[in-house]
Amino acid sequence: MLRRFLLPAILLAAAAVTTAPWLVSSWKLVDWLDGQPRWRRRVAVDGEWTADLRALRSELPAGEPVHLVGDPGDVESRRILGATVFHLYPLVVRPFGPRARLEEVRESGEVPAGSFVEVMPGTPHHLRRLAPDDVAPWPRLVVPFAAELIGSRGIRYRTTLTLRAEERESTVLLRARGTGVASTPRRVVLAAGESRTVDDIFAASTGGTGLAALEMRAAQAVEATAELVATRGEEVVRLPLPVLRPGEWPDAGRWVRLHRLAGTREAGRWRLWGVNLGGEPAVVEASWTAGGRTERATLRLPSGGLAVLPDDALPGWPAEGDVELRLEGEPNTLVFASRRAPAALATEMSWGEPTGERP
Amino acid sequence: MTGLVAAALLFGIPGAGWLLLLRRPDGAASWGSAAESFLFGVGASGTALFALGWMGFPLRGGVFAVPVVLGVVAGLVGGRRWRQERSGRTADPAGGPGVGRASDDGAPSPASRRSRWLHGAIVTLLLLPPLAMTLAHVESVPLVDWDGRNFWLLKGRAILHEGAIDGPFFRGETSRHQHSQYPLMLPLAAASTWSALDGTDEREVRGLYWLVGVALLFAIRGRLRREFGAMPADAVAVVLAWTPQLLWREGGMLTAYSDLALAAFLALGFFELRDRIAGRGGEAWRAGLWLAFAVQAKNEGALLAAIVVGVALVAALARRQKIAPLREGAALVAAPLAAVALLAAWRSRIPLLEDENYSALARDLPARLGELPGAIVALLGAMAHLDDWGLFWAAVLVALGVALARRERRLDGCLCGGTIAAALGLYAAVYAASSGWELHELAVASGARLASHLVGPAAVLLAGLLAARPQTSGS
Repeated sequence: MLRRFLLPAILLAAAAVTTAPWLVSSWKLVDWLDGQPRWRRRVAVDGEWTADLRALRSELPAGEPVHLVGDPGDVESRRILGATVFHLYPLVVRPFGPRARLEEVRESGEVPAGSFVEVMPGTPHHLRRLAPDDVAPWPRLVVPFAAELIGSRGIRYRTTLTLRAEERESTVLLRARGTGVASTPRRVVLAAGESRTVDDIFAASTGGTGLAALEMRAAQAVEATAELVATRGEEVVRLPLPVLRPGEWPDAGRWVRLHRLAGTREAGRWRLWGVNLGGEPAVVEASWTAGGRTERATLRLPSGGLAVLPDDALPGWPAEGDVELRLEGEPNTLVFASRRAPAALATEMSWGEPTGERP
Repeated sequence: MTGLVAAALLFGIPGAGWLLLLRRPDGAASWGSAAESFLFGVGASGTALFALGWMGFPLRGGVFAVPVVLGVVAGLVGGRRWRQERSGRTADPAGGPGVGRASDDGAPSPASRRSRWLHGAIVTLLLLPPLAMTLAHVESVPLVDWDGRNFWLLKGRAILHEGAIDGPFFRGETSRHQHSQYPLMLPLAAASTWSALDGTDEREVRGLYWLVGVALLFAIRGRLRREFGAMPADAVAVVLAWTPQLLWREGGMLTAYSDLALAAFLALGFFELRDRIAGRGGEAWRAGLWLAFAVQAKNEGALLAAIVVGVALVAALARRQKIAPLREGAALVAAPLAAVALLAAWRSRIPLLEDENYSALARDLPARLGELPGAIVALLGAMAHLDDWGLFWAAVLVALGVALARRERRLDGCLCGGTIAAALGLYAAVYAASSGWELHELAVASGARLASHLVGPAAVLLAGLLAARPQTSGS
């Protein structure tokens, strides 16, 4: 008797203690949901965020990936992130990371393509599509320059940048990049209309070959002017530097006449410098005419930085004399020439001028 | 309800067909055999679709119909075979070797008809509330579970969208793909249901998961009734039907997890093997098929199948059974090994994304053996939690002690106890090796759910305890 009836009854009662209240509450829930539209039911059992999800579904472009910005350490955010991936499928949806990471990639300019949706549990808008301005990469400005420091005893180089915020407060990230130069980004906050000079991003006083570019990213539009300042004792030489936006680079994807490089032994030898600030290795095709002969070469620039092109990259490049150089570079690449006479204080740099289509 | 009916037909019909080919029919329809047919249909269709997908067939409407057609053909061939055999032989009440079994319900005697009716009415009344309520819940309340949405059903949608099991989604090239190397039986079954209904709404596949849970209950009940009689079997089924973990906790029949399918395949493989050892008509190769389905249902399936096979072989050797070990052993392990090989071949194409790294766990285990006692305590603590399992596992522990103490039930004690202990030891070892997690957190998150995998062997122990008279465990 105990074994056949009492034991099952005890086991059933022990399970029913938990299940019976659930059955009652489940009955009430089913009864309450009866007749309600599907999305209302989902909101009722899964939370208000699903109403936002419903609105988002019609708002998101079909062919674009969706990046979910949210804190993966928060359980509720994680739940919403996972369920959103499911409910939006076959849209390509991936968790992106917290908001701080989005700001980092905006500053670095490497914002992936697609829509960004922020997950904010516990707020009126649990899922919110971020506006294009909130996710756009910070515009980039580049100040490329070369500083031939070989034998530059007693010469100090530095760059000065004059920045002015236009209409709104702007944060500017500044750093120097190049061979032998790698400064950590420095943040400068400019009030609206404020102008400020920054002269310690790049400074060198030792020998060696220095090649650098100043790279700027600004959250809002800023005006910038730059110059390279060389000092030796009381003597000061200022060389204006171009401030370029990537789209304005003279040899980005087209043929240019770099310069007629008139050289003499006294004036120093021209050298070529390559700038590739893209994420992939880049190729620049070069041809030049010197002494009646035309030479061609393909220059390969490593990704993400600056490089001085080795002497053997351009076979036949004359030590002196006139040279007409034509370049066809990939986007994000820039090649320029520089020289410094052994006795001169400042480096001379030469930039190309667009000549149209490839001949 | 459309999804429920579609799933019942899509898997129930071919499953019945295959079982008709593979074993002698019971003679009388029963809930138990219907449940086994459905589960066999899910297992065989899922495995067949996985193999077709691996071979590069596009998983679209026509290919999804292949397992159904094969099942129907198998049923026609099997039915004809048994009809010919029945008409060609004289009466053989005991049935031949390898017979599945006679009726689930036993032969009613006129004197006990009223008590049988009363018994049936009480059992129905007790089973109805949880099953009806969960069905109403499935039909009315949207799915909200974690694993179902994060990967199981998401994989099903991806299979349907890409028509492949190794497309861009599975290679991690599109949406987030967690647990990229999990087996795909249930996602394939879901995709098959969606394909039949021309949709991808999760409402349409919740019936499939509910049916798997209900089929688990009725398959266990059917098997127990054949051996222990109606009362113990029904009592166990009723207790299980009210158990929160099997009903509405994460991993239960209201969620889109694969745990109940794994539990069902493992239980049926275990029952078949146990019947074979006890000389009750089980077949090693049929056990192998169920265990192969367990391998294809979840990652744990391969190890749990190995445990079932290992414990059964030890028990068979201990009984010095007159079986041909090599032939039987080969028949037993052939299908599970083929399932493991198929999974391994598929996994070689799929990068490991946000998934468990089992080789790393195995490597780390020796250094973390000190955590094992704590892991065992945490796991047992989760199983003893009243809100998840009631007193089920406490009763199973008592039943195990009783079975081991009785000579005539010692085989069951060894088989069931050995399987349960080895499986829990395995899970505890995984807990211990999982660095970066608190044991308590792991147990709370998964302990009660993992215990559901062992509900088949546990039910045997419990039914043995509840049986009116001591049952012999074998001939």
